[in-house]
Amino acid sequence: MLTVYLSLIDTEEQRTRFEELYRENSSMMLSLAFRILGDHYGAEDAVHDAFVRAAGSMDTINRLNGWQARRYLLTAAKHAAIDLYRKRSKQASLELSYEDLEIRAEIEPGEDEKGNAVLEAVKGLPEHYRDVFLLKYSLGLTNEEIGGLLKLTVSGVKQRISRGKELLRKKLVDEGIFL
Amino acid sequence: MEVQDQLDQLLYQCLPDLDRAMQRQLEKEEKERPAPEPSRRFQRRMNRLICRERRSEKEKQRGDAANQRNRRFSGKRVLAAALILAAVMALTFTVAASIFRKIRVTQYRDEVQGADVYRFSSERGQGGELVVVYPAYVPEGYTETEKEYREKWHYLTMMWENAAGESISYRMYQFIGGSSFSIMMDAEYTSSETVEINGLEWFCTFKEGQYRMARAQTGDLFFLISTPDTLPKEELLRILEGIEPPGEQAVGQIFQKEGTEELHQRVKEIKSDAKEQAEADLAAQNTAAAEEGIAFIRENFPDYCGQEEILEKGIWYGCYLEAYYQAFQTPAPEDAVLSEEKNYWMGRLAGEIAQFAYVKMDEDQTLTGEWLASLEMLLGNEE
Repeated sequence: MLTVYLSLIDTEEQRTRFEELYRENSSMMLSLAFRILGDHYGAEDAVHDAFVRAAGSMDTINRLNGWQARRYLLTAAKHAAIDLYRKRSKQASLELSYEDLEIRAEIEPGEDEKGNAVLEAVKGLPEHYRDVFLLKYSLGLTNEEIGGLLKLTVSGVKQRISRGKELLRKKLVDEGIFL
Repeated sequence: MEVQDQLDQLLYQCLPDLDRAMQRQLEKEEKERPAPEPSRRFQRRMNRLICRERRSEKEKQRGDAANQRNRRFSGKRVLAAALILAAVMALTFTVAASIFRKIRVTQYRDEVQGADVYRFSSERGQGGELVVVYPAYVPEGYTETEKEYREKWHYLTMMWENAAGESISYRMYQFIGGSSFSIMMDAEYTSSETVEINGLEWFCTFKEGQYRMARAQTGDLFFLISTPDTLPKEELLRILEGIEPPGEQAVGQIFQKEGTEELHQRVKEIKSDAKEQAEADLAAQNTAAAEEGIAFIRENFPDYCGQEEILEKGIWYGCYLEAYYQAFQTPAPEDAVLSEEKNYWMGRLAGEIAQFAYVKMDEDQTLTGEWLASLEMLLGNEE
């Protein structure tokens, strides 16, 4: 009787970058997705979907360093969770409500007053603008790459950047900063 | 080229710091409230994805840039042969046929249930000599608590227990006279190895905190031993040494390999092409092929095997839908409620039926009959 056994050979050399990304980031992605969906089964589906998206964009991810890749994956997980939430509730316009822990982040104030003001203003942006800003200005992704991740058209991405910057300028004007 | 204003420049300068601070905040929260251990289902799905990526990366490294997208539905003639189909990332099969008495043994791994499955069937009217094999060795401290031979199913079950309430079980199955049996064993063991003792090849598995098991198949006999994980491996081997299979049985096994590699390779190509297309269409939010696939499955039910072209399309659309709706996989077809969940299972079931038919496995529809029934249920519910 011929028998073929499927086995995973798991040596350091054979681990791909993709696998390393999974090992390093899946836990945090699951936590984030769980906060949005409220159930572990759904959170796992969302994270799996995020990794499927990531698998299709490894050329982009391979350009990024560790924490940039994490931002990419966290964004993918968040949006996959939101998509799943909407599909389940079948109400595309339903507003999600979950604790946005990231805005509690504390940044050490620098000497640059303008820079500090911009950081605080970005923290206060609505999430759907902030995510695009992080992907563009922190990871350096192109509008096409951002659109691919967030399932937006290029013009949709440009619109969010443009409106986001308008909002930022308004906030900064309130602080007496004109850019 | 993008024109950067002063705000852009500030954003490029400052946002990396913000990003890192936000991630540190998440790390902090995660330490305080760690995520629960991922489920086995999630780990299996991720393992499949990781394996696929490993393969993909290896292919890139080998410079294998052959464009397989245009190679579809070539209508290659199917050769009548029994063979192994190793479906990477999904199922592993073993088929053997006896030249003296026909015993069909199908072995595969069910990734969704996390089980190794052995399916035995024998033809009616084929008698055989009844055999009962008792183990000659039982570890010290264990006393017999059960011993039963079930004549209807031709299997022997024995159990021993020690003072701590731990038990060892032994089962011997024999498949004769038209019997049919499926045995499922846990596939999520910590480690495994194969040892040859008394001419039997034992597959031994170990799962920390749960069990130490061994199984072996010869002719129409299947042996299964299960012990506590605390039992030393040497004791298990002594138990195996005490099991003497009968002499050469009037049951032989032939494995016909004509056309094996070609068919196997062709199925692999079709599946790979389908999965690639599904991923591309998912990214582009293109639903045309998924809709085509559902229509194909519905229109051709239950006959996916009429012509070679239908067979290959069945495999392609089945794998395409499985990949396209992967995110909606449920543990079983009966759990599918959303249309996407049903679409996943329709694709998976139709694809597997077509694969089995393509390679002429399971001609008596022992397996595919069940899959057709599940598919009928899904199609009926859809209407």
